[in-house]
Amino acid sequence: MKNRNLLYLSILALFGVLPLVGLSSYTLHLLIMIGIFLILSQSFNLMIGYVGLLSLATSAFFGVGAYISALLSLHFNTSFPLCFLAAGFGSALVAACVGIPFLRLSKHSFVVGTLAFLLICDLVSRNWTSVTRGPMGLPGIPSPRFHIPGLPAIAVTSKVSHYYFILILVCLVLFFFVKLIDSRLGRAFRSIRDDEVLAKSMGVHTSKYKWLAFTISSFMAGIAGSYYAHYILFVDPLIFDLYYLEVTLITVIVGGAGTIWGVVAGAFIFTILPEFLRLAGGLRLVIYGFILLLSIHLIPDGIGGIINNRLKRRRLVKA
Amino acid sequence: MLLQHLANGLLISGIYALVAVGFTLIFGVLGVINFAHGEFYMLGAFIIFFFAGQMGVSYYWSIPLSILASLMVGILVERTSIRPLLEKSFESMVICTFAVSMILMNGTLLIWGAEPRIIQSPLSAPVSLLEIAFTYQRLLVLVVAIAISIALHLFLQRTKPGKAIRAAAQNKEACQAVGIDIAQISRLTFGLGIGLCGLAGALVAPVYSVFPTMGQIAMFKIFAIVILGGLGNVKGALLAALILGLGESLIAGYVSATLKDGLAFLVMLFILLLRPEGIFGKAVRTL
Repeated sequence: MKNRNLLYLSILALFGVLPLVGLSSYTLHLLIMIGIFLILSQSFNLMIGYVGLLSLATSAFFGVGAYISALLSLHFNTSFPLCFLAAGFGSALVAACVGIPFLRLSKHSFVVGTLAFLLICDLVSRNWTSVTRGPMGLPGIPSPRFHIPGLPAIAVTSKVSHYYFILILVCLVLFFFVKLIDSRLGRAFRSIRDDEVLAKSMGVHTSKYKWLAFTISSFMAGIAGSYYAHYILFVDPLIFDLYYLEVTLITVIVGGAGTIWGVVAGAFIFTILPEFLRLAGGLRLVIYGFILLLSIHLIPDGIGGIINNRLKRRRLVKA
Repeated sequence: MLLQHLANGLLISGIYALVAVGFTLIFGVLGVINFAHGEFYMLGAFIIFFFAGQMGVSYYWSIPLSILASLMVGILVERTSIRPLLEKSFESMVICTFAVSMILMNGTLLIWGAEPRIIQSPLSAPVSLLEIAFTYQRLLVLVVAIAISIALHLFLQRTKPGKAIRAAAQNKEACQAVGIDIAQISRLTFGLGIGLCGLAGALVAPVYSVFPTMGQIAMFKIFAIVILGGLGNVKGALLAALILGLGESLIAGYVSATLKDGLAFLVMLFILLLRPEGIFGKAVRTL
């Protein structure tokens, strides 16, 4: 266990000093995008990998978070920390409300229903022009600023400061995620994934835990969306495009649903890969489709699942 | 004006019905939510564009070619992607068909580009009946949709393969006990569903413009229809297609065009909230 903590700390230290070696702002931008997609992917991973529910609404809550944050900061001049929290709790609140009917559905209808929610969000953002300005989007979102009493205000505007901000955020999310999965709550989640009827018969209040997981997952997607809005400084209805869902899906499935570090690896692969391939959007999504298709047939547990199985086997051989 | 809106709505209903029936049959027999279903409809329309618009084949000959080509792609997809996963979890099948949809849609986008295409049909001449403006093409769509619906109903009720399909949707073990080849019935159902999609695409191509995302847009409506009619319920799907098509047309005509697309999802949400088994479905206890 000590070794593992040491490993985590050294990885963190490595990422901490990374900007000091003089990375280009383009590389920093990629790393920031990896961070954002990592949080979004873990939000999806919580549902499919640990509760066993395929929720296609994850990227909808990403957009809801972005819109809440953008609207608050533009119309009410709300400070960034407040916007950020409001986006997280706002998304969680929406999820808590729509989750009650959705989670009553059979797993088939749940998939279709969550997709419908994403489409409704898209329609609302396009047509509620008095609030969202429709397809024109909301430009001019301010960069994150922190006002701590007694200290000068910290403005996160440069790429390096954005990088450190998302690094801290990712660490917090991952720490929270690992703790959550190891807790009583996480065990309840996994029992639902493995066998819902059995879990129910053992006294696990399955519908309550499914609802909790849906809400927590949406909180994560909401804060990722909020930060995304304050990084790109612009939000429009394209945030509800299926593209975000597709990228999240491929990250989690190829990375390994139900493994934390596999999904981290997936986020790195699928943010960097297209940059190397330098592909146009259409061809990229065709290739992504093939990767997803091959992955679901050949490595259904993903990269993380394969590594976990190897480790388990080695431990069994040793023991 | 009311008659005109009803006529337009009936046309849309016909298209929805052709696509939705296949979707709901495939769900009933294979237990697969086919996210790629709408792409076969799109493919049917684009193959018509390829033959009639680019190769200069006559429109009538293009229709069977289009159905055949969609069927070939469908069989390829079934063989390579769907059949190996039938025994696996439901979620992996959803992801699989989602991936197929990504490939087909973006592949079409790469080949033919994003701009909407117009296809000329020899039946584009306008016709007026009881003050309803129509084209012969629209009339053809309507007639074929109704004929196919009736034929399908007779096929499912009267013929042996049709009865086998209904039986497989009800109870697979019992089917095997009386000697029905489930694998064969699954293939037949999938082919039937995809063929209907190809036909719908081929018929609709000269009426509306053809573009790569048309399959996705139709797919979302189809979801609403099968939820409304009850997943796996053929009669429910036909009725729901009629309701949604007419409803959309009336709302577009009398309220607003933007609300038209929202109707499907609002209806879907309310059905999911109040009657998750669909309005025509039997109540099933879910976990």
